[in-house]
Amino acid sequence: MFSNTTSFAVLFILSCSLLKAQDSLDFFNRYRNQYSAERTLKSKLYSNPASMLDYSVASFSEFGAGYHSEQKDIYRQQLGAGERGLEIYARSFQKLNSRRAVWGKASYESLKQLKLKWNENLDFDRIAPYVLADSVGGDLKLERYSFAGGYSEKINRFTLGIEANYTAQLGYRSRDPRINNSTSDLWVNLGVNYKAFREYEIGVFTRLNKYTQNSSISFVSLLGNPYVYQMVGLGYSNNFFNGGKNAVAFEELGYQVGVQIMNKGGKDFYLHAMAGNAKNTKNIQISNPFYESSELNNEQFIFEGAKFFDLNMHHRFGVFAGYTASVKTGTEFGYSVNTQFTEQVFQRKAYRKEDYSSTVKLMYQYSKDHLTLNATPFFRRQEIKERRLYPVSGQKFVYNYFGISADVQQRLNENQVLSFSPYFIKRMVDRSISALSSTANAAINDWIQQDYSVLASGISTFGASLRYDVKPQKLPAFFITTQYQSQKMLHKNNHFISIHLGITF
Amino acid sequence: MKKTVLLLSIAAALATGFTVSSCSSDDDFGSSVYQTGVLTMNFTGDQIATYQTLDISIKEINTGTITQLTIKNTNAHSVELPFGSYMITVNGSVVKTDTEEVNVGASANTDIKMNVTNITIPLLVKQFGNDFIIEEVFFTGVRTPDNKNYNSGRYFKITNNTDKVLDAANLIIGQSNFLTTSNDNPTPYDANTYFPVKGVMILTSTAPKLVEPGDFIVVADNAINHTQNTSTAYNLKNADWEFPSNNPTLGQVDNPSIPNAEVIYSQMAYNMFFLHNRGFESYVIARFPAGEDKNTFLQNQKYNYTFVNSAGNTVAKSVYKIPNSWIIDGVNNSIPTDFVQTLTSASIDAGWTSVGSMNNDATRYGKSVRRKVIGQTSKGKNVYKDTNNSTLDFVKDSQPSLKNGIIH
Repeated sequence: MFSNTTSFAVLFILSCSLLKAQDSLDFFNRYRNQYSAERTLKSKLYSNPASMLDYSVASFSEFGAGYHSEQKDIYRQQLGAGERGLEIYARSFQKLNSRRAVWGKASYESLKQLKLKWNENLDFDRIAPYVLADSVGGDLKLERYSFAGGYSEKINRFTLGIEANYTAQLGYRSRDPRINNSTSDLWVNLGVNYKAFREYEIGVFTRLNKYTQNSSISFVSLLGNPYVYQMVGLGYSNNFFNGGKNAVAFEELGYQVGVQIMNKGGKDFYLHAMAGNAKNTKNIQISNPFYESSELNNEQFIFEGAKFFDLNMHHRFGVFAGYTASVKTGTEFGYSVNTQFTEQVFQRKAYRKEDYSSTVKLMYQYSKDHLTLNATPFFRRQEIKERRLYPVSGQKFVYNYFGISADVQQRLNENQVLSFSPYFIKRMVDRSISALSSTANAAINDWIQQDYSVLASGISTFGASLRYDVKPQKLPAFFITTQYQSQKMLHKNNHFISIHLGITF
Repeated sequence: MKKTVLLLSIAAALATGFTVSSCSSDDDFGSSVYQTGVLTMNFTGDQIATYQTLDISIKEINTGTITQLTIKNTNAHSVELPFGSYMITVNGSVVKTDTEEVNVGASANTDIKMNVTNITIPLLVKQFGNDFIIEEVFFTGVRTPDNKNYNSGRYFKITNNTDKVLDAANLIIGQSNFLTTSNDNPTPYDANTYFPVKGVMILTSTAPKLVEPGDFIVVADNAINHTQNTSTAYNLKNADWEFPSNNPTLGQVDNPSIPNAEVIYSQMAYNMFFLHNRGFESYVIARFPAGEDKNTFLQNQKYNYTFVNSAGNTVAKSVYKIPNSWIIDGVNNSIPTDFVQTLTSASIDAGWTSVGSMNNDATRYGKSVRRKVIGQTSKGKNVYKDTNNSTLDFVKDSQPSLKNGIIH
């Protein structure tokens, strides 16, 4: 990785070179085009790079740096008690002409994840439950580098798009248990849209992913070290691979294919469906060779449809409906202790996690010369079922979410804008079932029960962000934004605060 | 395309979403998991008339699950188990053809990866030699008050658990060659016939060393008052034998008034007999049969074996073995998180005991394994439990009995 100062310098020079004199457009109109709440709601549509041609009618860029701090009093131990860190980023969308667009982003984050326990890996959501774990844990320092770029071009009735996205992470801890994790995540997306009739378009796209994570754990203290577990879910671990300070390697290959139907680039309506499959293999190193210990297969399906109505120039309505399904199945491998060379004795599907979610959103947008107001209430129903065999254990949750998010953008004068975005989300637990069985370890049983009580509790979240933009003469626009969020769960509070500043052009 | 059709399709998708979310696809999650096989165990033994009771413990190495079952008056049993790699331990009692009721033990390993697996398990009569037993082994050592390792002050305590006077002269103490925490799969290897050792010492004495019923002898690594070196160690100057280190850098540690045990075989430098302080070894005590002595032992009891190391190469090693027929008692030591195998025949010790709950447990220092007391003799001496199963016979993490010195 090249040094941080070099990367900042490169990012700044890159963004300055993309600077264009856009004083001809009113500052407020440029602002509300760049930060359109409706575009954020339609983010799934833009997973097809060919649809990015209609992302915006004008070009815009943002370069910023910020700090955030999350402090949790109630949390799942494997996800930690919060996070804080710095971030610097640049992102840009350039509409070269009516037929070509190019976009890109780069970012660097330096974070500290707090009080992680029973989880010594990164990207928990991707590899869970097959994590390396111990009872001590601690804070984790993390550096994350991310680069993305894409290009879209219209040729006759076809629009082609290509995008690549790469993220690398380095996580480490310099006290026992000393861990060293590195990840590499590459996405390559390709899409083709065809204008079938008038402004109706049909699109197909594919997204390919290659992911690896390498982890190692070591102990320096002469006084002893905690037992290292290779977890397999719900507190159980792989007895054969437990103990020892074995290096672990994850490799994942995945693909997603999707179909889109839209009118007027998604401004009238769109339908988006995507199905995908990813296989994540975990290998554990014993002495020299690596042994395959588990394979996690993730089948996903995403559907979203939306329809928009304009009452007149000022009022716009939207209806969104979406459904996502994710089924993760873990296949575990067993080895023999009764042979000279370590041989595989069984292979069986012993873990399954299903996550189904249906969402309905309504959007109301009111626009005038000096004001844009967007309000989006939503309702979601989610069912999560997680279970194991050998031995049998499981838990199930059914949640109802409802909430509302609003976005108010107010023009103060010809070169100042103030923006306020409050939101409220409530999670209610419709049903929670615990079929968890106890392991032989009391500390692990306590952790699993605590996890269950966090997953089975209702959450009230409210937050807001405030942003001020000012455009001095002959200089790019500066902004400063701050966000605060408070989450209440089981009579305890989790807080999040962030501050960012930067320039837009 | 009509907008109403689109609206209807959105509604239909939504409806499908709600219905699909409430039913989960089980497809092959249940069926492919049911890879189970039937394990049929046939128990055999010499001159057994009735297989009274057999307690069988079957542990699967990958998941750690233990299946316990007891069978009565039969010598065969079938059980359905999921595919895996298994270790089977048996403890029980049988009636022999001469109507004598004896305790038996056995251990076996098998992989279940097919529908039907048959295994024949020979039951071995537990040898109760009517001789000395290992009452205590103190192998962890202590830590000094400023938390440094103190590598001396360890001992074996061997007790006469019979009602006769016994002679401790020329007893053999053997230290296992292998560890209970890993299995190298050596070839050849038969724990039911012999016990491979990497250290052997003999309690040499020209005169008999008679031990009264209920009394004990102490074999210390260094028979001195260790409290003078560190307050946390013990006073072992009244031990009956010692096996001090000959390492010249340590100076003269030998206590001239206490006889030295003769280390006739050791793989360590300076012919040292050094106990594994995390407790991964097994120890046995044995007697030379008539016509055998240390010279015939060194001549005839060589044990050559090969195993495959972690790099995949076959390695040959040469150590010694003590025939099971010479052994009068043994104890396997391990730790709960790392236990893989016992090293003695099930007829000598079918179980294992431990100090510490995990590898390198910092709380293990100053603790020993001690046999349970089940009663007192008429003279007020302890009677110790001995079923040749140290899982049940010993107390883990005990306070050493010689903490306040050797008091008979």
